[in-house]
Amino acid sequence: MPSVVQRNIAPEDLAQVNDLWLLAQTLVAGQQLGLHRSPHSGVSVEFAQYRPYAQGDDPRFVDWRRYGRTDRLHIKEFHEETNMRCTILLDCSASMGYGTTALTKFRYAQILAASLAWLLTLQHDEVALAAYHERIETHIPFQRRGHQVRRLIAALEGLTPGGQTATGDALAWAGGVMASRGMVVLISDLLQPLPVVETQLRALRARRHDVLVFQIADIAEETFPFTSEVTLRDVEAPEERPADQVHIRDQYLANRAAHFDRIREVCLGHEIDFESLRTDRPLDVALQQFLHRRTHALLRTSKRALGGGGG
Amino acid sequence: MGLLMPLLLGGLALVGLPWFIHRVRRPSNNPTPFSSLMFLPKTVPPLRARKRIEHPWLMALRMLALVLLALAYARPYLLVRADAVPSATSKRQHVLLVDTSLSTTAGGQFEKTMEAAQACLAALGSDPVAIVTFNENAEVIAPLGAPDAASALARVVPTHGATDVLAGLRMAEEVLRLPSKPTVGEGREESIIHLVSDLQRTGLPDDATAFSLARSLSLKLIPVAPLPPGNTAVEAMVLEARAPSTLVARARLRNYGSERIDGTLEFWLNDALAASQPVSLQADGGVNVSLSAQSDLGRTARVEMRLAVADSMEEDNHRYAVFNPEPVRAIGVVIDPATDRSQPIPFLEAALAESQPVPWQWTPVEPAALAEVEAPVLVLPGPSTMTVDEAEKIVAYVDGGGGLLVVPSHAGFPEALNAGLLRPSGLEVSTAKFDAIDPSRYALLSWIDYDDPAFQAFRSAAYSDFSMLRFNNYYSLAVDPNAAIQVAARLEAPGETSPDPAMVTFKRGAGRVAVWAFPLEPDWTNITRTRRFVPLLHETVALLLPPLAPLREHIACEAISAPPALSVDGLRLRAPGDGEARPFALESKPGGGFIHGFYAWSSATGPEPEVVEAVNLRPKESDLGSLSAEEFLLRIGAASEGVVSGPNPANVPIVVHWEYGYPVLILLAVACLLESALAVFCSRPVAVEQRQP
Repeated sequence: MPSVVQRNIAPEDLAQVNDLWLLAQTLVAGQQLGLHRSPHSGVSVEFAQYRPYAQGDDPRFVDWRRYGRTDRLHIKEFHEETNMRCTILLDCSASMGYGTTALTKFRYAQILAASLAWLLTLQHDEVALAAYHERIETHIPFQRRGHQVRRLIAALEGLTPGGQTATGDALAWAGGVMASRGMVVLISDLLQPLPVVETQLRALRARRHDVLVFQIADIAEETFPFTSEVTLRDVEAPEERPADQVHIRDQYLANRAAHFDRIREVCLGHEIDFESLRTDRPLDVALQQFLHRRTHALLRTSKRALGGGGG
Repeated sequence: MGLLMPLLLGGLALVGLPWFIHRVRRPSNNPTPFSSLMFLPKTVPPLRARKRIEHPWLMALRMLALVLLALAYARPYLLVRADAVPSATSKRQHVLLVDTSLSTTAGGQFEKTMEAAQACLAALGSDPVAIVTFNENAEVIAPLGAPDAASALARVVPTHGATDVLAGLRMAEEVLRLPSKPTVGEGREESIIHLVSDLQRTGLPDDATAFSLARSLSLKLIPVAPLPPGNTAVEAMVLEARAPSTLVARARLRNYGSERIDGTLEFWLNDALAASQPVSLQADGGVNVSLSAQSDLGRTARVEMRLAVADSMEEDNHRYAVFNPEPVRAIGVVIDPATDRSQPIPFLEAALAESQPVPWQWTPVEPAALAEVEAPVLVLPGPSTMTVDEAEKIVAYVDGGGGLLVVPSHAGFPEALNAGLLRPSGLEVSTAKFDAIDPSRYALLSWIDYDDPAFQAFRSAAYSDFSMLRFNNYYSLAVDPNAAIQVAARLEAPGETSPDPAMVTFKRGAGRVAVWAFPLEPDWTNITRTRRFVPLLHETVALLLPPLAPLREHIACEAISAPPALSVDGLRLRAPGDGEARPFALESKPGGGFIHGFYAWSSATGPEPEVVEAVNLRPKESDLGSLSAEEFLLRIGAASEGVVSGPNPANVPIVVHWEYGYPVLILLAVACLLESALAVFCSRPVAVEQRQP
């Protein structure tokens, strides 16, 4: 059980710092890694399959429980130990540029992406970045060369939000470029119709990618605090619509709740980690809570693989 | 329903202001960026098509408050019809209250007043009626139910008195509350006051709203046609005598009309025209005018200021005043022919005879004639000896009300005077302060009571310095501390720590005594050679003189009382216009009051009038401005049921009203309270629902 140190860095403090590299290091520093390296050197902790024993196999990997049941010798095979590949999909559409607190959603997402990239790098995982709106705007592919994270963070620094959201297309793209199993981290406000997103999330899981979804929201989106009649303008589409606190707020909140309940349901059903973050809450706390939950989930999987895989 | 001030209803134009403000506060056309509209319902109509007002209830309350405010200023009233003519079967009693003030004589108003009163009396039928006339006072000329009310009414004549409506109403109330009302039938009776008046504005005091008619009484107003506009008056007059023989009259003239009036002001002296001057009076303005004439200032003079103009009321164009010369009062100086007249006596004589404006004349009084002294004040300079008999005469003189100034002699102070006059009063003139006179040794007036009547004239810094007075010697005055002796000044001798009384006064019997501690001999004091001596002597003598009786001026309708200077026995009064003087019996006032002019008193013993008094009109009666019926009722706070009023060209009582000013103001206050509460409620911050992710 990893121990954590919560530092509770307020978003207002994060807003004072422009250096994304520093921010990422600050957020990650003081936290012990949530993911440990396998104590089994050269062996991945994740069970892959059984195969019949052949002359010369290492008898340490004989599943003696299975032998007791079947009178046949089988060897457990594990996943090949490789560094995990993680693709961070960052939504940089215009809606991500909205914000009523110290940090806009996009800035919040930038800091989160940089922190994740740094964290994964510390774990010797490979990280790629793809920023998208209606198309992939920026792609930093996997590279084993050094300073990858610096390239990622530099790319993050150069991003500006704009354009419309096409999360489904971005997920489809990610599934296409990742040849082997890896991790896809989606950072978006998910303010778009869900069917395409749902389809692509299922597709990623079907390819056995590990998917993490960070949904970023602003407090105004969650509370709809407008107290007088206003005309709202969609930042992504050329559309304006009148809003009246008295008559529309309840309807807005209900529609929004239904939308994100659906996303959670989909994620839950496909073992996709879903984390809802709000820009007025400390990012490091949210990050740590996610990592904590993530660690527990992986440990459970490892135990099943080591202790009773297939049996 | 009507409005007393309908023009103020123009304030309703502001009622649209809240609508404008609430409408303006609708959201502007600048849209607010939002991340996504995907969760907003799509069926909300465009904002511009909706005519919504923000906080409509608040706006409605504010508009209501403005409406009520305008209405309150406009003073709404409700007409209530009532049967003005009492039915024959009703149990009613009435008071016919008739205005007989001087203003009713303007422009033939009194005839109209009497016509209205007689018509009202006739309309009352057999109901019991009392008739009350009023000017500044009220008089019951026919009690309730008197059979000869009509004839009593026919004998009513206008008076020279001013108007006091409240006096009439109070008298009418008093009549209707009489315990015995022989003509009252069974059951509840209705008491009605019928007021016939020109509703002169000055007939109501400023605090008329404090008066409230008894709720059991009804008031029916019968206003006579409005008073004719424009009137001039001689409002006030004062006389001033200028020696040797000029009498100056200063008058205040007033024009109450709206047009300029030109005329002539005449100064009549003893019924003869003495001077005149053209005058021009601006509209609604006044002017002060001064005229003078030659007159014997030693004799009484009758002065009349007469304004010759054509206006609504002629009586107030005259004003009367009587010049009574100030009597020359004798100051007696007790002189013993046997004494040396070269010493202080000449100083006193000269000082007392100092030039004007000393209203007295000194006269020598021999000691043998002390019992017959008629002068109000005696000066007793320096007798060194006095017989007991002389002292007793002086004591009797003082006890009888005389004033006495005692100035001691350098040769000593008579013991008889000490024993008979001073010691009984707690004072004694003892020995001289010093045995010998040393010119280099002198006392000064170190302490002066400037509140003492003898020194009040010297209060100002220009005259308060008495340091030049030096007293080489003086008598010690022994003053009993328990006696009521006022010490006006003290002398401080060199080397002495406590000053000695220098000038004292005390009362004895009906008189008063002043004693100086110092003789007037030049080697004793230099006071006679200083500027302070003459005024100090005059002030001391003045405080010993009895006060003069004040002049009296009467106002028409006030009672005239016999002058105190004359004996009542055989007293006669000659009123203006009377051919013969009437015996003194003025309890009844002819015609309800006195006319203006000169009233001359004389006693039966002498043919010439001894006292003349002037009777004038009250200036406020000259202002002929009148109130409307509604305004009259509002000013007297009439709120009882059946209050009626209205225009009355044909002396038919009409109806009015309840005023709703106060209820409207109460509603306004409630509306303002509600608006404040609602405004606070509407401006509260909307609770933000924290959605738990």
